[in-house]
Amino acid sequence: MEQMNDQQLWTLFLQGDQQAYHDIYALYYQNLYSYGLRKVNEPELVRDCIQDLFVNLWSGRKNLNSTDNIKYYLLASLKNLLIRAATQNTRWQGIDADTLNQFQLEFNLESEYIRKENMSLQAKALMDALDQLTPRQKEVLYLRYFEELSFEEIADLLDISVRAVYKLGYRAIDALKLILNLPKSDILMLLATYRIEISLSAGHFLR
Amino acid sequence: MQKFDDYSFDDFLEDISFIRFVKNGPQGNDDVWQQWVVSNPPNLDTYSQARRYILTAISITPVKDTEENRSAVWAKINSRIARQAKIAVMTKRIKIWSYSAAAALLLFACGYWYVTSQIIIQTGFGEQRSVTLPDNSIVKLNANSALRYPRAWRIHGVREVWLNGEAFFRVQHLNKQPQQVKPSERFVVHAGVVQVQVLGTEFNVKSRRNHVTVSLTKGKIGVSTGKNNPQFILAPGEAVRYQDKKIVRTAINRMNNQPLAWTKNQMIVNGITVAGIIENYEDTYGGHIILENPALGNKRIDGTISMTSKDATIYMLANLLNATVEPRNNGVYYIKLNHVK
Repeated sequence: MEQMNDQQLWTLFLQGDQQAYHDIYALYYQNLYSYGLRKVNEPELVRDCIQDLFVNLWSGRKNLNSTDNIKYYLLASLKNLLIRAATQNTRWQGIDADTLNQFQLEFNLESEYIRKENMSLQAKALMDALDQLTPRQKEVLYLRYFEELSFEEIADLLDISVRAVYKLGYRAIDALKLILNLPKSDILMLLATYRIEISLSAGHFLR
Repeated sequence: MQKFDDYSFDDFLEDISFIRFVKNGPQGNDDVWQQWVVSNPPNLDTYSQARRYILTAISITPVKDTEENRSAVWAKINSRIARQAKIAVMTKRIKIWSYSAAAALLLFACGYWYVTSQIIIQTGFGEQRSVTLPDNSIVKLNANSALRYPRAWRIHGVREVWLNGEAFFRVQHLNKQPQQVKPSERFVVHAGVVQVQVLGTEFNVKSRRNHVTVSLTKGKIGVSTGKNNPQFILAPGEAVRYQDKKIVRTAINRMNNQPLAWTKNQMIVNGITVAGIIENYEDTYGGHIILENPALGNKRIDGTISMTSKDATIYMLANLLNATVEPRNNGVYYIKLNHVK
């Protein structure tokens, strides 16, 4: 069966189709949970916000516009709900606005991608570098390569300009590109001295 | 396909189709990226770097909620939506109820107002007016008079009007079988203590200064002062006058002040006192006439006085009395006899 695209699914949902509503939930629950938990390390809060998000979605569907990217719409809504939960500061005393600037992203050397490509050494250096990115950079990285959002959508979601998204992306890429270009021996050295700021020292190293 | 040959590291990372190819592998046998890779392109090294970069970037420890939690959240969402729907239905019901209650109340108020309210027609001093009632009866209202009748004329069964002042009635005759008179065929005029019962006829009612005079010109009417009091049946040319609980029955042509003259803007008098004329004037035009010599009020007069306007009437009266008129403030006129030299 031809898979329904976002626009068709969303249109059905807006017309009050309960199956479409459930399909949207089933399709995107894990994406929402994963993104939410990376921003706020409180599983119950994230689940509550997802709950609110879907209840609001159903009761307010008559005022919603059409969209061709449901995932982006849901992620943006969840982010707003998390911010509101944090700023209202009622039920979740531990959460403050500062927590929302976090973005938990742990790179995993044991992932099947790394093993399949037999790139463990380079990957290790890369991961160390990626680990040192700012939460903002990590969030861009995640939304771009994992959630496949466009730069425009990421800019909207993070409330920054598209230029700033490019800049955040490139600053990460610039440093990492160097690592990818280094000969094996240099990478070994780099790894031996790691925990110093790789993104800087990588450039320094080549000079 | 050729365009991938010029791709830089950044170009690869910006191409979402490349990202998907790296993440998901080739899709089908004719995958564009797969075909391009096997064509041994010049920038294959850059391609590998970009590929490794993406692979590393997505090699993150997955975060996933359990299937139980996912279902539990879904169940909570559904129960909240069901509750909302129930509340929506209830508020809708309450809304409908309160709207209907308000509408019923409004309807009742309107109905009450319609049934109980009256139409009031009032003439000022010196003003006459002809009124056509809903049954096409015609009422000619003299000056300084008021006629009231129910707005819901037809609902009330009996045709009823209340008069204060003087009016000439030409009542539409509705009765078809003289043996059976339906209530709706009656026409009743209430004037002070007097009720005039009518079927269809022409008559004058004057209700001023605590006396009521009913004069019939055509048809037949019954006049009484209440249900239990005797009713006078008048024939054309007859009149009945109620004053100080006394009832005087007379013939119109023997009255000293002809009851229908006013409809032609006249006063036709036959032995009426000057005081009686002045009363008539004051009832019609308001104001006051003061006689220099009060004894003049007892003088009796015969003739026709034209009442086309206030001034014309008063000067005509002065002329008749061989007197002069001096206007004072507030509509007061002072009448002084001319001294004969």
